[in-house]
Amino acid sequence: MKNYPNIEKTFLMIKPDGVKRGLVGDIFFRLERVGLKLVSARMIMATETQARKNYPGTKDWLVKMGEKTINNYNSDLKAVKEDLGTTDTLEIGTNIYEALVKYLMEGPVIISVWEGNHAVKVVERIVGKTDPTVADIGTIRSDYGFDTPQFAVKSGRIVFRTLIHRSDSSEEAKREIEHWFGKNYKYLGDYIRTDYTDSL
Amino acid sequence: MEKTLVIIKHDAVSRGLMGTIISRFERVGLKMVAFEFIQSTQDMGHGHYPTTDEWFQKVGERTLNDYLAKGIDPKDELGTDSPLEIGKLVKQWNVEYLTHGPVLAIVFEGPDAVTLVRKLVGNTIPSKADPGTIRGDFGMDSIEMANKQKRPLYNLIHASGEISEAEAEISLWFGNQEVFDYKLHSNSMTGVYGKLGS
Repeated sequence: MKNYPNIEKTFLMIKPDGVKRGLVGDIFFRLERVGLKLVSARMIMATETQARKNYPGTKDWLVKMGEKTINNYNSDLKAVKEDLGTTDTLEIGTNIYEALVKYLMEGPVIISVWEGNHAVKVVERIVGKTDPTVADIGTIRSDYGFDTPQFAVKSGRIVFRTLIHRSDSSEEAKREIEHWFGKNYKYLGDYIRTDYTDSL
Repeated sequence: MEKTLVIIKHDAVSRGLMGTIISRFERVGLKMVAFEFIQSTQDMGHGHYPTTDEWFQKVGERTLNDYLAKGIDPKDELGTDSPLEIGKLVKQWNVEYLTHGPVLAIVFEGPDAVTLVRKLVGNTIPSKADPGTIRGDFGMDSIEMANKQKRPLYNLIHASGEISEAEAEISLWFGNQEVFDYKLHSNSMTGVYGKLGS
């Protein structure tokens, strides 16, 4: 596989909601059927450090999260205050961050690495946009997702469940593989997928 | 709660059948409590199958009978007609199959997990496996073809045969690794957590 310029790896995590809803098989199926090759996977319980460091967590980032949330309310500060108890961007961002960490630690997750032609982009397409009301039909989040930011806030969870985390780029994938697998990472991709066009 | 080991073997991995196979267990409500994509070592492969003369004899006799039923002289094909020797050969073939490439090892948990999984997997021989079972729906290897090529049946999946076997296999494949405890949503309506409404 090393001779093809566009062959790359991407990191994909099935979050606790995906595992608890019994969607691991369906998600794997969707990745396998486009010819992506599994090169590493295991079930783990995220440590607090792993969950925390999955996000930048800097003050700038927290404030930005807060601002984004206020924008989602069309800057209706009264509604923001009512739902989130505060209009302070840093405080909102911090609350979101804590909720994200809690979400990732709600139960075991499946961490996996997939390899293939333009794997990062292909997986991005298959997973779809985070909000299931705007995710394209046929994407995982459109076909299995029901949670939205508003629904999460009204249910007191603050962050909505998105089933999956995936890498945005090949460089990020490298960092995420290291972060999530650590010393347990072993590349097991030296095998043939029968549906690769050049396998026969 | 009962646990059982499933190994999605390399032929299924290579054919892209992992997701489909996992779904079949998930949809009946079986819970995955350990999961690893793993390259089996020779030692693990050998440890996975028994090494008692009794087992060699049993397995050897089965293969010997397959040869005789097809009118093939096992001495021509295998150089021996001793069930014990044939049993040892068969073990070697099995180890080669199991270690050929990465496999997906999963521990499933649920009431009667061992029996339930065996039922979903189906008969070892694809042509005898019922439609609706994994081997019935995805397998097509035959004993005759396998024997001719001196290899075991490529039947996609391994599942523990009984509870004691499951315990030994889980400890072989997952050792001291954590087996996870969590609630599968679908189980809340199956009685696993008590009567409805509790």
